[in-house]
Amino acid sequence: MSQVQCRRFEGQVALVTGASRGIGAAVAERLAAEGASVAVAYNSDEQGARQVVAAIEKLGGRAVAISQELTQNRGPKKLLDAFKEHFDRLDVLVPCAGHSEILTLEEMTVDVWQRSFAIHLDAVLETCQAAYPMLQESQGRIVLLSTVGSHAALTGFAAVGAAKAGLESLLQYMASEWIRTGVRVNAVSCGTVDTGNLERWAIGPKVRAFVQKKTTGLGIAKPDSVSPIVAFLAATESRYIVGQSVVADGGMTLGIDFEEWVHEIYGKDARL
Amino acid sequence: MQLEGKVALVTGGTRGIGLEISHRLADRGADLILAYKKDVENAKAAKDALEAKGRRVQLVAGDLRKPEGVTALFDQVREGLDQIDILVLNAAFGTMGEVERMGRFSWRASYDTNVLSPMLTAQAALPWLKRKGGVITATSTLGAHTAYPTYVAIGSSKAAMESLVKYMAFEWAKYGIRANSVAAGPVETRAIDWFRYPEAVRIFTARKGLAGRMGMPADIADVAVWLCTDESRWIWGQSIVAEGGILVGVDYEEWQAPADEGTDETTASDPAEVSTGGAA
Repeated sequence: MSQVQCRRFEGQVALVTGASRGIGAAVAERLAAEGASVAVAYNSDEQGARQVVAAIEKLGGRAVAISQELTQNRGPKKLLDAFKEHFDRLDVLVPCAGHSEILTLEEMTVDVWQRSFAIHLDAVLETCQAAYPMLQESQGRIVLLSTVGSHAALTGFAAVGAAKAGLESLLQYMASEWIRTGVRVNAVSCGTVDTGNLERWAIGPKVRAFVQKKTTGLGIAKPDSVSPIVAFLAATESRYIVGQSVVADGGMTLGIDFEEWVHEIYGKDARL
Repeated sequence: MQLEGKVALVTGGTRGIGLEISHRLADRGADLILAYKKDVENAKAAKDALEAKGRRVQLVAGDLRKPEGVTALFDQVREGLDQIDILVLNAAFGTMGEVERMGRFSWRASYDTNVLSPMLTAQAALPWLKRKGGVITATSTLGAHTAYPTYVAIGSSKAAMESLVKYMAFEWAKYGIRANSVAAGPVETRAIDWFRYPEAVRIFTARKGLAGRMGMPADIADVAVWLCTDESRWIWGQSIVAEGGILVGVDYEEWQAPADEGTDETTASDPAEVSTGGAA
């Protein structure tokens, strides 16, 4: 049963940013559940980070919370310095830190735009750069978090979508340059994930209804819909996958269903 | 053991990547229906090896390129394990040759096995897959995403198959059936010897790719089997490319060192030779 997934990260160390909640928290807990010691990096949500650490420790795992603002000058470098005070190796890096604001292009401001690129792109580059020496030593893996909004225009998602499109290109460059030293880089491109933010957005209920309808039988993704995919891309099983962005959206952007509004237009009894 | 109680039908499941997939499905607890075309001896050997793992294994034979062959094969399923939760569309065929010389018969033969047959097979398996919401995983090739020498019949037919798989995922989502492909880079199976210069494929792959070696069936089987498990439940209608990094990036410097320095070519893949210092 060599390949049965249970403890694939025994003896390994993972660093997850944005790990105090949402996808980052689910990834941290999943990697820990499979044996990894985890650095739970967060910006401001200390309570959330503590809960993640407690959840990991409860299952007998090891976790350390590290607070660091990643968009400040040399933030990622400081994060890795703090990381090294706790751990002497790094096997898996998952930069999950992100922040979404929903604005149409007409409403877009330079501030919102720049903030998005700072956290979703600049900070990821710098975090990966800072982590790269340690990842080389361990033949480590980086799993990036992207969105189908980088390929498809999701309502009001331009600031995140464009930054993540940049990230998907950065993925190609990192994968190509770093595979030579055995560091493997891939991404998961998520559909809409319910991380508790949806209700914060005015458009939230519409997003929920749309996704429910498009992902037949699946409903809306939860953080733990994504974390198994991140774990797979960080594990040996995916050793032959390099520089790929794996779309995991439950079919949300799969196909164009010309028939989906037919009953609204032609009435309930319309036959297809 | 994530697949206990499930039955997987694997086409071409008795050799190469298909056999590796069958073993990994068995390791995770699935029972197996192995569809093969005509090599009985080989199929029996596969069955024995898998039964030794404590799994139920049914062999079914038939020509899946023809409706009557499909009907006959699924009649055997009905009389045998009569259950399909996982369908692995793995059987493949291709004729090597450039576009310029590609003949109609060779072309059609590739499309029959690589596109028509998966369609007929999935249609026939649908009643079983619908029962509890099943999974379809197809094995494809990087040659569907890029061009290899003499590979047009296989590459283009697999591109068509990946499209077919996307349509299955789109249309059968309502039955809770999830369909995806894994597109494999060059892998050490007997199919490599179909290339005019198989050694060139091996050398290129080892030098350009991740591990300094050819892909092995297990590299692909691990991905295919993972796509059959619940862990990948959010992946629908996708093609996961697993090619060891041979297509990632265009490296202008990769053939430079031997010419410049007159050294043997192995130094060209040494990161120290990369003058941009990207690997420092």
